[in-house]
Amino acid sequence: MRTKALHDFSVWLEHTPVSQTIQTIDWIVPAVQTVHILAIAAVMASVLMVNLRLARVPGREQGLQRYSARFVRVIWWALPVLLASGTVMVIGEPGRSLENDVFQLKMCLVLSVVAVTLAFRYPLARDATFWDATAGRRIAAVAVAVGSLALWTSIVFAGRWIAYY
Amino acid sequence: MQLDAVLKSLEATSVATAISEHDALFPWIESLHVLAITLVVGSIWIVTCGSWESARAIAR
Repeated sequence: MRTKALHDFSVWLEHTPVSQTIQTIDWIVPAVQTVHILAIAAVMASVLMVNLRLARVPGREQGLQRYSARFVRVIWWALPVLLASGTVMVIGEPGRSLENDVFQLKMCLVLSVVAVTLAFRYPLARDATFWDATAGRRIAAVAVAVGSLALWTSIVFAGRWIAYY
Repeated sequence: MQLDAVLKSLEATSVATAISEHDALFPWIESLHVLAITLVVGSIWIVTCGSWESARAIAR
């Protein structure tokens, strides 16, 4: 989606003092990119752990609620870091990101995965055995785990493909 | 000079030619590389945090 309003906003943003500072000082973008990748690493590992447990790969010895409480907390801490570091990169190069189709797809995927994570956590907060209770829920849990992993993997891939569109 | 010759022969391999000639191949490989980095670094972080929590529990 490339509208004139979005283009005008990108041009305006690119000429703001903050954007000019990010563009001028050489180390800002690489440093922020490093923080962004480290935050993605924390999220991806946590997502993998929660989703593998949700899909019952490591068995049921450790309760899902305890497991998810430990790792989903990391996701909620890392998301603001990703948002802040991503915002700096967008301000630094607004034309390259805001008007980029892959960037827009990435943002849609991020919103989708946040919705999936909330949908997974909400019933678990009320009932610790919710996803293990019935055969139907166990199948749904595997579907949620596969969907969540696919979404996060797509987000990482989209992050790289932004540079090529 | 020797290193230069090695790099040139590496550049002439069929794999290197395929990567340079196909537009999409490099971004796909790069994406997989970044995904692998996040999983490796994240796993190290999980193991380190787990060890740290265990050490704290023992100290208590």
